[in-house]
Amino acid sequence: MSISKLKAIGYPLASVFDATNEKCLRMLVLWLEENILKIYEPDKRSGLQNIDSDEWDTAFKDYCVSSSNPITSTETIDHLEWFLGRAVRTVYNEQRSKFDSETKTTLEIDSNVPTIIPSDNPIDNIDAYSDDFKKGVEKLADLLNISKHPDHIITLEAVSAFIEKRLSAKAINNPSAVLPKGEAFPLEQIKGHKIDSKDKAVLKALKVLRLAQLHRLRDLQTCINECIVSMQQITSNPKTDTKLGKVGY
Amino acid sequence: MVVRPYNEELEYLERKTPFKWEIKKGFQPNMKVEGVFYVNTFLEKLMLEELQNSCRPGMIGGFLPGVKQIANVAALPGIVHKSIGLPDIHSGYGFAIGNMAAFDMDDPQSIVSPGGVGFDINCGVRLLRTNLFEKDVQPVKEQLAQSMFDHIPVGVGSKGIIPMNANDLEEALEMGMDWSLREGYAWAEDKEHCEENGRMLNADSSKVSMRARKRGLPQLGTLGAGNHYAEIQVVDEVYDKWAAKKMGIENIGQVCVMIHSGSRGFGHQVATDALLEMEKAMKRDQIEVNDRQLACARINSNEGQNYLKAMSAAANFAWVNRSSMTFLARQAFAKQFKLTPDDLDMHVIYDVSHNIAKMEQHYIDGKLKHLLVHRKGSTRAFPPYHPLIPVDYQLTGQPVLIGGTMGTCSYVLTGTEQGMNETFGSTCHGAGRALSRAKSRRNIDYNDVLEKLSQQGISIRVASPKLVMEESPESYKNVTDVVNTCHEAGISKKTVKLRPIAVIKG
Repeated sequence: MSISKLKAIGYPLASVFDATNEKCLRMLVLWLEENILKIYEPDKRSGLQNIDSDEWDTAFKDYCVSSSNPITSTETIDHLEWFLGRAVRTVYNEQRSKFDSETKTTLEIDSNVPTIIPSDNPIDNIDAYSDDFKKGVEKLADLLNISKHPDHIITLEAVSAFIEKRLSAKAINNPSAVLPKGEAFPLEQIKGHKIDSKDKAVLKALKVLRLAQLHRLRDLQTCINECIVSMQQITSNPKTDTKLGKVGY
Repeated sequence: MVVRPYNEELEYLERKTPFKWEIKKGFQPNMKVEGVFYVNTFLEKLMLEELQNSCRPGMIGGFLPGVKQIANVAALPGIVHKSIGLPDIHSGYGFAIGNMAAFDMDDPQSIVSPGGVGFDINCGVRLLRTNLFEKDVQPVKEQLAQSMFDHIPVGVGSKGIIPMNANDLEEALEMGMDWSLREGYAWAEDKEHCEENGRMLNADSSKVSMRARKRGLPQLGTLGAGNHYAEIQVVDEVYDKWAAKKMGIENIGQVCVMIHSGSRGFGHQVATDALLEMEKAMKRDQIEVNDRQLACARINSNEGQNYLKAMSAAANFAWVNRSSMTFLARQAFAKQFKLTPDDLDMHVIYDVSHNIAKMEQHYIDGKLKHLLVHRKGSTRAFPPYHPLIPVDYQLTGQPVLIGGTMGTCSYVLTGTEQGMNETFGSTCHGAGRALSRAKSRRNIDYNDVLEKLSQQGISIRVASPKLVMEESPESYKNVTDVVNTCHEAGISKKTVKLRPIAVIKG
């Protein structure tokens, strides 16, 4: 159980709270009901107020039912966790605007001071904007024959996409599975509908964008086909019966 | 109908471009918009001859000529833009086959007409590719044709070999291809490459008569008769290499399977039931039309809504039907080549509907409109980047499958931006009849037809040989003329030409 939740809702005994102590738990339930949740009318809280009574457990069960607590566990602590969550929500909803503006200020302060978590992983410590790194990306792109983008991060994305698709263990073992089959459609053959510009470079870019979009659509259609095929494995049962056949006349 | 001498009729027709003619208002009474039709010089001759013949005194009975039918459709309440005739147009019940028209959903007067959809609701074409080449198939094509014929029941009274009970049918009518997927007759990728993803969401089987259900139940998974067929084809020519590649067509000689079928007796009954119901609705709502065959009802009336829901159920039936036949064709190939359909890469390239009415959004004069688009003998051909076409075809435009006639070639086209602006993203659907069925029977001998096919090296399995002359290439317009006209007019673009090596037919 989270002590910070208790602190957040201002429970006075939060610092000395002991979740293993049954009495502590019972006191918390009572405090929550009286100060925040207010599910019962004040005069009906007597069952919960008798903290030392043997009847307390029964009263608590009734209380869970009245508050539509969905938890099925028999442990009081599990139910309490749910009540605490509800209490946090109640407190937040009561003073929403106050909390929202406070969160905003806190976030602003936080973002001014970047938190640097020291890490053992050397990759996390790479400065992606250092000249050394940029040069590395360019070399990698040259090696893989990938054209470079002025933003080296985008080049890196392209490099990563290429490696994932073409240089995975699976692709290296079976290159024909990933290599596109057939002859490439020549770019100059692409004509028609709304592909028009006087600037040759723009025209070419338009065509490339069209092709990229078609490529995405093809992938989507392939996924759809794969879905259909896996459904067919359950439903399909083609049959023929030549006895039924009859040739006309 | 207004009867005028031929030269006076011609005053209402004007050639706008080498491939496009306009029919001016006044050609038929009450025309609300102009008509338009797409033809080349050869098809133009056929169109005008038909009109000329009907102008001769004493020519009554039979269907009206195609141009007159386009004009009558232009007189229907709520029609927008134009009444459009595609190059394969020929006279049909009410609407000509190859006539498409769109009606404004926000106009309370707008109508829906079963004649504008056709009796074979959601008749359509599906193309499967394989990784086989002509040299793999030639030596075994007789066996393969026989195997296909054994798997896919054909003919008027044929019955399917996929066991279905009434409850299965009920579910299939609501779910369309999702039913085939659930039961394992279709692949997930099939759904992706099918118009509307193989399911009309507004289908309501409670609006379908018991009679339609009874006719439909035993017929699921059958090809039917008439112009329906399943063909083993090889790629003969590739016009647009990149678009073909997107469809998985890599080289000349690659083997494909084309299935042309619809909703069988089920759709026919749904259409018949609706026509009867609508005659009453027309009287009640005082809807005036130029031709009795153009029975229709307001979209928002009970009759209109009932028809749309039942039509959608029939559309779902047709998709389940084509999916079942796809399953059977895959089985036939798998048995012959002792490989799984997966190994044979037997993916659906696309599946088009060429007899259907759909709610779509189009721009008219820069304004976005909700329309009910009737396509009868006309295929949707949406341009590149249209959100309703599969991601694989976003760069090329929607594949449009044009089935030829028995023994002639078929084509794959793609949709264009110009088609979207001129024809609500619609194009032709096939060759289109040039002779009536009766005329074909009188003038052509079926033995000659079969002989000619075998001379061309085409294996044929047919349930009723005596009816093949109705479907002989001579009875149809030349599909190449039709497709070239669409290509030249810019309403769709040629991609691949296929030629048959084996045909199975009803």
